[in-house]
Amino acid sequence: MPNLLKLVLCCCVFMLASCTNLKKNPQTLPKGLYIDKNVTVPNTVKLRYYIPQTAQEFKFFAPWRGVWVEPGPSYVKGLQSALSVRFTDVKPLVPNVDDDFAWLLVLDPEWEPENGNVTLTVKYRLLGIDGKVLIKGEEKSKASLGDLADTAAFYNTTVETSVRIAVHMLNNLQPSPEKFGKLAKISSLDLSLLADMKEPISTGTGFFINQTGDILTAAHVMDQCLITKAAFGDKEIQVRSQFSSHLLDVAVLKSEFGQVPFLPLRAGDDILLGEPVANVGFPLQGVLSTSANLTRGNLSSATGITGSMGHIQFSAPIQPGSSGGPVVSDAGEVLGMAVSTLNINNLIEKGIVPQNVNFALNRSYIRKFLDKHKIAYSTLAAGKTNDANTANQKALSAVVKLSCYQ
Amino acid sequence: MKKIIILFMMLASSMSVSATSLPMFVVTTFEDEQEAQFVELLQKQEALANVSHKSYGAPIRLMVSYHHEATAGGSVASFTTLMMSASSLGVIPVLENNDFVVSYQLRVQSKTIASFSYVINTTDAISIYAGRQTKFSPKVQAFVDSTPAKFAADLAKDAAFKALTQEYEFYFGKQ
Repeated sequence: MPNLLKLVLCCCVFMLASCTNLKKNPQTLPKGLYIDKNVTVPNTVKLRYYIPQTAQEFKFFAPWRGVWVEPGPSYVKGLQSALSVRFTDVKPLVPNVDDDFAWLLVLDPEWEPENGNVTLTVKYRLLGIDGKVLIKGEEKSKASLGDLADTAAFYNTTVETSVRIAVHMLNNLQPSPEKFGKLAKISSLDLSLLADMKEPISTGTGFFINQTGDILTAAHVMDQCLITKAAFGDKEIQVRSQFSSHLLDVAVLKSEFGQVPFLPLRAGDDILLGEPVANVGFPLQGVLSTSANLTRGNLSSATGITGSMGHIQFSAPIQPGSSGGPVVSDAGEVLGMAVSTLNINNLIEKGIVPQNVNFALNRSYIRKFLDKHKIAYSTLAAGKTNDANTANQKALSAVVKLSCYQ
Repeated sequence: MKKIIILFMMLASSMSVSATSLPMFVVTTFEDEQEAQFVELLQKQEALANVSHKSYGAPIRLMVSYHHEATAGGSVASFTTLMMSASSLGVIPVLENNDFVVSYQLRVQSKTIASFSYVINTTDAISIYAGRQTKFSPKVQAFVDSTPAKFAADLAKDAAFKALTQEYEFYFGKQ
């Protein structure tokens, strides 16, 4: 009898699994949905769509199944499949690329897991060539997750919501070459129409490296930004990335701040262990004060964590948001730029509580990067003047707060 | 003459790219013992000789994962054989037909610069009393073991990887 029970349970599990891992056909319309007979399908209206980067890349590791679960990449695949059946020219929007559009679909997907199901909610706006909203709305779809290792729930909910959005757009606007034949350049698009400008998704720090307002920061601060704003004094302006290196985790931003105080890099490559340093940044925005924070410590090591490249270790405390901040000597020369800290969570699991172990990109590599891209900067020989207070003030005067919007 | 010099420079640059083995931190979703063997297989590829699962701080990261993907025909076969298995009280096994996918993702810091997936279609006979199997069948294991060479070959042709190699040489290569 217990074996029979086990068998029945196994059957139920297998049957459930076989339902949750089957992908929906993007060509099929959900029950009760139809496309108006006056609408040509596939339609030739030139459609581009925008999904925030964090949503596109959203994934998590399910340790109990040993698999990566990828709602974001599934969304990208499902959306493209559902739209390409109904539109002949549909692609994701790539900012600053020579492309144009007649319709621009702005999507904001959110997933909510509950009791073995996932509910996908997609808020959307369709913009015309003048940036005005043609249609907006919200679609929801729910599916059973089943086994996370081969679930099709994320793909299927995407297909269902995307088909509904596509049909809604087609039926309501009845696009034809006469009505929507005019195109607008993506390069001339005001990106703030796409981004949620109410609140930044992340913040970081940068500092001026020359008088003309070029800002040095960590590349990962800019990674997911559609729009980056730099705040200096009481002024906040939009800035753009000029050059970046993900390998070094460094970027230079072009700003319109003119005649600004800037920090020189220390000349030479020597590293003096134990040398006092200060780090300036804008950590934990929304929790700590909006003015710059200054912390002090020492240069602790000439190298970083095993396998790292071009890092030095310092002990001045840093927090999220400090990335890109200068690590300066008591003479006000830049010795490095804060890029990372130890992953405390992993070490705490092993019973280790690390203290003040932070890493900065060594100034030698900053100089090499700036030389490569012909960006102006100045150098100062080590230890000409040693006045910590003056150096601190100098560093505080040259930092900017960076806010990232999507 | 100018064309010959340019051609020579291009060849020299492509040769230097293939000779460099970038230091990488590798993470896989394989079980511990399987992971160690898999990393050894990766290290046998010239371009991947410097991968290590101990270089925690390396900015270049290789993430290797695997998953099963249901096929439409496979799901029908699985359901049919499940019914037969149930009616025979589990004597007849359930036949499962899936795509087995091994995915490679190459990242620099948090930015993905290249990703490749390799797929094999598999059919397995599973006893409904056996529970979920974590060990690969010999066919799947052989497929998994063959992917490092395929990945290395694909990587060698990848423009973003070539650019990364040149950038690595510029900043960290022998002066």
